[in-house]
This record gives sequence, structure tokens and C-alpha cells, in this order.
Amino acid sequence: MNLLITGDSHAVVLGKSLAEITDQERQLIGGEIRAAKLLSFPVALRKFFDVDGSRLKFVTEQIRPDKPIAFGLSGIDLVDKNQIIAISMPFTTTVLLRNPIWKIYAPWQHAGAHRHSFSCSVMKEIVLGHFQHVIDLFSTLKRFGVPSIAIDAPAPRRVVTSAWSKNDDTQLIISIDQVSRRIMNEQLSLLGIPVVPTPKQTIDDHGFLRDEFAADAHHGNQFYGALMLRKVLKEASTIDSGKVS
Amino acid sequence: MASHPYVNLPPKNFWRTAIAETHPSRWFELYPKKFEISKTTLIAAAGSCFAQYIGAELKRRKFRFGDFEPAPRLLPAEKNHEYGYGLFSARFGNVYTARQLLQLLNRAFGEYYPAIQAWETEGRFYDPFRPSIEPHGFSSLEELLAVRSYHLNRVRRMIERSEVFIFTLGLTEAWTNRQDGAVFPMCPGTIAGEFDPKLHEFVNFTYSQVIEDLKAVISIARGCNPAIKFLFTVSPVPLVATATDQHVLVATTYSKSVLRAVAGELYSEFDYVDYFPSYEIVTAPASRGAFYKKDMRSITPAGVKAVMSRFFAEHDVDSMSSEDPHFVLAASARGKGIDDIEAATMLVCDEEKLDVIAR
Repeated sequence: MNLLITGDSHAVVLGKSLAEITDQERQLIGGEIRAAKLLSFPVALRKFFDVDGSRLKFVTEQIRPDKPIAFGLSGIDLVDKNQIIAISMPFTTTVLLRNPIWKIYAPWQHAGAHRHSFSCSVMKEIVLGHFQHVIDLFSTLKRFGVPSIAIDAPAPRRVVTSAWSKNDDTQLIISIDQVSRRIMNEQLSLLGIPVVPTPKQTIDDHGFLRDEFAADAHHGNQFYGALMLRKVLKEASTIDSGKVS
Repeated sequence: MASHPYVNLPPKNFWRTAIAETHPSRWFELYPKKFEISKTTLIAAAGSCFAQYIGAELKRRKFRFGDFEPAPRLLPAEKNHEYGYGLFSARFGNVYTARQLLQLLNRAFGEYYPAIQAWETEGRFYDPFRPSIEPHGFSSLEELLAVRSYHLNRVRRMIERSEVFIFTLGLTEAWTNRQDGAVFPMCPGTIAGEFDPKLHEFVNFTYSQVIEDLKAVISIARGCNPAIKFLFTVSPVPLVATATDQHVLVATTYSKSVLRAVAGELYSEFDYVDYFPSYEIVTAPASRGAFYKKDMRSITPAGVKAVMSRFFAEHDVDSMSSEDPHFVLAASARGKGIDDIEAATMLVCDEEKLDVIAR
């Protein structure tokens, strides 16, 4: 089977890491392996695809009407059963974490006396709303029988929320990140989508991405990419061999 | 010609001239405001389902409607009402009775701690005093108590800051905890919890109880915010069900009569209390029931419009001048139109959970 690794900007380092894997590792996948960034995550906050017959077409009406979003990837052939789509998007919490709303709101455990408090259920609705179109993408692929894999995103960098956070907000940042990932894990599990988790060795004791695996304020570097790519290939090979058998 | 007090009264004082010979859209003197409510007045609102219309219309007209417990902006808009956000000035859900309002304020100001903390159903925890604000309940008692503590803090802030508090009186019937008289907005077991006749008691509040409760509410509020004014209305929505042994129509008439009389008494006694006749506008014989939907209970968008246009004729004169006063009844007669009100205000009414029980 062919493997397409795509999604948001975290897919870029996975694509670069393709050059670092061995032929033996490549051969885990029976067919061609491609990697391409599809979009920047904020684009996924709006509806970014449509289904036209048997084709899933990427469109972002407000940004680039009816144009391929990135790297010439204009859509996915939903009747092509000889493909696995691995997508990096469902765990990208950066945009959520950077929202200045956390300066004045927090889940009840972290609200303290200075923030508006809300329940875990409300948090879940926030997360599901944030990733609504990403979940729709996985649901659509599932509905058409196209095997897909959800790729975890790197843990947040300590600097990611500096626009609003103070030193004592570390726990809130990590909590929002981890709760969001847990909710998305549950959601993807309900859909029967396998998840490739972030390698544990890339995360420090506080839950942040270790400096040695960071490329910038929120992306993983080539070391992170190589680790993650191998995990993705392994997961995809499981699906591939399952199909073959 | 004989001289007596009726001789020089204006047309509004006579049924024939004021009602029988006047189109309902021209009942202009129905509500002469007692005090100004302008677009800079900080308004808070609570009450039965009907109160949601008032809040929604105040917001739509860009009045300064206080939302002291606002939804986090990231919560999808279509989820706000489901979680009790944006319906009233805080996330208290429907406040149907005067006693419920009084206890809410007493809880907010740390003067009352009900014996019952939560209802547990299948491992989820529900707030007995606002059971529908978390449709799936809280995950733990600790969470419920923390979110409630914040809520009561916001209610306190609402009372301390608001310049006008609008309360729509809905019911006299309620279910209480026998242990300490804590009033529930809904009978235990209807939304959450479990009904137990040994623990729960039905009450139908009397005139003297309701007026005493509302005077206590006024006293608490003005104790911390001496400038706050009150606007009472009576919901024209009949009871969905009565727990008395009376016919639901008779029970409704009792409830509404008591509430109307209490509002009238408070209006007469205090210069900082006004009364707005939403009940009269909808239920008047001259309205011929046209403001009720087929179930003869829910208010039509035209009914809401009729009520709100009388309110804003006093408080938002500029915008009213551009509206056609005949629009209300014309739309009502067609049985359609004014859909914007209905679409914009999807009510959340706990009481209607009882309707599904009717056989």
C-alpha cells in the first residue's frame, strides 16, 4: 500500500526525515511513501474539505477558493483502497494554547480566584469544537473505508504561551494540552483510528518538549522527526500487513 | 352634569375605549415606565423561561445586559444555551419561584447552606439547584462544588453591580427538601436525582409567602447595592403541570393571580420597583389567544414581539419609531413571520420536561 503522510506543519519534519530512514525501514510499507504539508493548522479551524462523489477535495473558501492548499495536494481519492493516510493535525494544541482566553478562563481545577471557572464537560466541548473539522476529516475517511492514522504532535514548548502566561501558569498550560490530547484520543478511539503517540523521551518531567528535540517555538526538529516517522511507519505497516492478510 | 371621580378620567381608564375599541398594537399607555432604563443602564435578569426573551431582546437592541457568568469564548456558540450560558445574567438556569430566588441570593451571600449538595445519577453529579446547566452532570462532587462556588460568586457580583434587576415571576408551585426547605427548580427525578416522598415535599406558595420572599430579596440586594431597582413581570406561560389536586387551569390561575398581586403590591409600595405587564398583553381577552401557539401555552413570536415592543416603546423610543406597530398582529394573523425572534431565542425550559409525562 502507498502511505501519504500529511497534515499541518508538523508533517514537514516527517517529510524531511524520510531521507534519513533506511531502505529496510522503507520496505515496511509495500508501496510509495509521500509526505506533504497540507495546511497550517489555523486553516483547519474552518471547513477545509468537501466530498465530491468519490473524491475528498481540499478547499478553503475564505482563504484560497478551490485551490490546492499546499504542495499540490488537491484531494484524496476515496475509492483508492491501496493507500494509508497518516495525518498530523488532531493533537496540534498550539493555537488553542496561545489563545489569550486562558488569561481569564480556566478549567475549574486551575481557575483559582482570578479566572472564570468552567467544568470538564465545557472543556471537552471547547476541544471538540476546536478540532471539529479535523474530526470530520477522519470520520469521512473512515466512512469511505480509507485507512488512516492520527499522528500526535510534539509536546508544547515552554515558550509557546508566553503571550499570556506567567511562570506560575505552567500547570494550566500542560493541563489544557494534556486534556485536549486525551479528549482527542478518546474521540479517535471511538472512530477506530489508531494514534501514533509522541515519543516519551522527547517530553520533559513537566510535560514540555525537551529542548534537544525542538526546532523552534513549537515544531520538533530532525531528531524528533526521525523518531516519529519510524513510529508512523511501524503503525502503517501493521495496517498494511492487516490488509494484505 | 353630575360630578364624580370618573368624569375626567382619560380613555385608557375605560375598557371600551382602551381595549374594546382600540387595536392591541395601540395600547400605548399600558406601561408608563416608573424609571428610566437606558442603553447605559446595567441590567440583570432572571426568572422563568419567558425571562429569556427579555434578555435576548435587550442584547439584540444593544442594551447593557449584564452577563456575569459568560461562556468562554472558545465554547462553540451552539453549545452555550445547552450549558446554561447566555440565557440569564448568570448561569442559574430557570428561577421559577420567589423562594428559589431568595435562597439563591442567600446562598450567594453565604447566609444559607442547603443540606443537599448534589444528586448523583450513574456516577455523574448534578446540581439540585440548577440541574440542567451541565447536561451530562459533573464528573465529581468536588468539581460540582468548585463550579458552584464560582457561580455563587458571580451571582453576588451581579447583585452588587446591576442597576436594574428584571425578574420574571413564573410559578408558585415548587418541590422542596423536607429537611431544610431548600427549593428545587424542578421536581427531583425529572431531570436528575430521585424522587423520595420522605425527603421531598410539594409546596404551593401563598401570597403572603411570595411577597415576604420578594421583600427579603429586595432587602438583601439593596443592602449591598442601595441604588438597585427592580422590574417585575409575570410570565404569561401557563403551568405545564400542577402537583395540586386541582385542574391545571385553576392551578395556573391561582399561581398567576398570586404573582400578579404580589408584583402589584411591590409596585405600589416601593418607588424603585416597577411592574411590566407582559402577562396582561398576552392574556388579555382582546388578544383572543392569538399570542399562544397550538398548545395554548407557548408564546408565539408575535406575542413576544407584542410584549417587547411595549417595553421598548418606553425605553428605546428611537428604535421603535422605525417599526410598524401593525406588524405584530398582521404577522400573527398570517401565522408566520417574525421568525427571527423564534430563531434567535431557543428557550431552555426545565419545566417542559414534565410535558412528556402527560398521557
